[in-house]
Amino acid sequence: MTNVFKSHSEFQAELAEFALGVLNGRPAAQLSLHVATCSECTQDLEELTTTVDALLRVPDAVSPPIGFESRVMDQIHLEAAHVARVRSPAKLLVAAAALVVFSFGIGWATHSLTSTSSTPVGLAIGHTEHRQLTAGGRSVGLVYAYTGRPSWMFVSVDAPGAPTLVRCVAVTTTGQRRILGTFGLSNGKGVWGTRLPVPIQGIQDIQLTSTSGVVEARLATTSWSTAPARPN
Amino acid sequence: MEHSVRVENSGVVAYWDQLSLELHVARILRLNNLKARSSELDPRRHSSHSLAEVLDPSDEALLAGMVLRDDQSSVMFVRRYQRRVFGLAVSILGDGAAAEDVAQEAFLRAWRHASVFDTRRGSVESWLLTITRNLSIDVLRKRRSVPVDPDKILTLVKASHETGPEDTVVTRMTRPAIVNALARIPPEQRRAVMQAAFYGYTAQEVSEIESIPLGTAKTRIRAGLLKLRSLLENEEEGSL
Repeated sequence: MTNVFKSHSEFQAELAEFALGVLNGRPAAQLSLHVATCSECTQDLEELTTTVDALLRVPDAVSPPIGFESRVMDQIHLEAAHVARVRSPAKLLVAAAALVVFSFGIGWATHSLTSTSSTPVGLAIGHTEHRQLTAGGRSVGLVYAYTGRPSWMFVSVDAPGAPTLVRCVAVTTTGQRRILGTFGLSNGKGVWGTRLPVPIQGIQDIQLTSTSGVVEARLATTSWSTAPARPN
Repeated sequence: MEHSVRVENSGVVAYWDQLSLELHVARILRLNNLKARSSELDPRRHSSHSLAEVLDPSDEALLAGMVLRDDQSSVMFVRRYQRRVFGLAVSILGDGAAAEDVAQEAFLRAWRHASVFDTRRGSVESWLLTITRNLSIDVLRKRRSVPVDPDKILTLVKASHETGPEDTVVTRMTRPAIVNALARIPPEQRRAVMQAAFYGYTAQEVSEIESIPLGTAKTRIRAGLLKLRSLLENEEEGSL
């Protein structure tokens, strides 16, 4: 019988096989339990998994045979028809909400339904907050931010007269200005989102500017909740 | 389109609104973009960010659309990743017909499980490629008779190592960097890592194929992957 009392270094030695998805059975289960309680192994596993993910991008991209897209869609339609017979619209909405839950960090335990290389990754869990965007003293939109790590933000704009293209700029607490991206507005309206390059707590202001750099809107208040520590 | 965001709702619902809105707006603006592209004089084409680049819905938004059974989202998702998915499958299997079956199944599974994708576990691309890899390994295991040469994958990579449109992911681990890093680790370690990564060989199987002790196989896999990680981290730091 496998010794269940492995040392940290013994578990660490198995991380590479685990990240590659070739550690199975009891050793994989034991390692999963250990990783869930060891921040060092969590960090190592995250990095090794990133390396494995990179490996899978090595083969050249190759165009599939003509008609591939149609055949995939045919299969999807076939399955959708089957699902529609057994699933109500309410359940669909629950599934859609579940995607958002999983995407933005409310809830933790999950597993890949299709991957044999289950690799829990220890990222800080946060919650969502929103702040008003203002221009000339009036509200022109909202910024929604996920305070965990990685941090995310979505911006919703309703600013009649605003340019058709605006830049979203983050001003960090150290005073650096970082362009997060550019997005389009239609009659002053638009939504856009991105993963933030730094935790939201390191950002003191989010501004929308014209492409020439004129500030069109900025946050009304600029403090964010502190993200909880990584689970370990 | 109802644009206002119901801030009184829970964060989940509000985020869902945002994702839906992003999809919807992106679709409208894409139409605008197509019109703009028809004009060679459109000044927006010369901005630092092309409209197509800016307005493409994120992978997460496409998955959200797929959950809601939005066909356009599914089509865009397939178009975005079909070459990458088929390329991986055909590299592992070496058989176009089997690779197409695997690629189709990979997209079907992505569609089926879009609601449980978790962005904290990595990118959508990595998730999809892992599905493809696992399906390919399943096929390999059913028909395996002769061990595959793990260096085959590398020899199939184009000598130019050009970065294609599929490489515009949020990472500095470009394909040329990964291929170069692979070339710099000891051959026996590279073989072991490739055997595990692409063919799903366990350390036990690697030891049997290479006629080496199990401990040596484990060491090669671990040392190879750690070395690879180190080389890629140095590459990332160098590019910053």
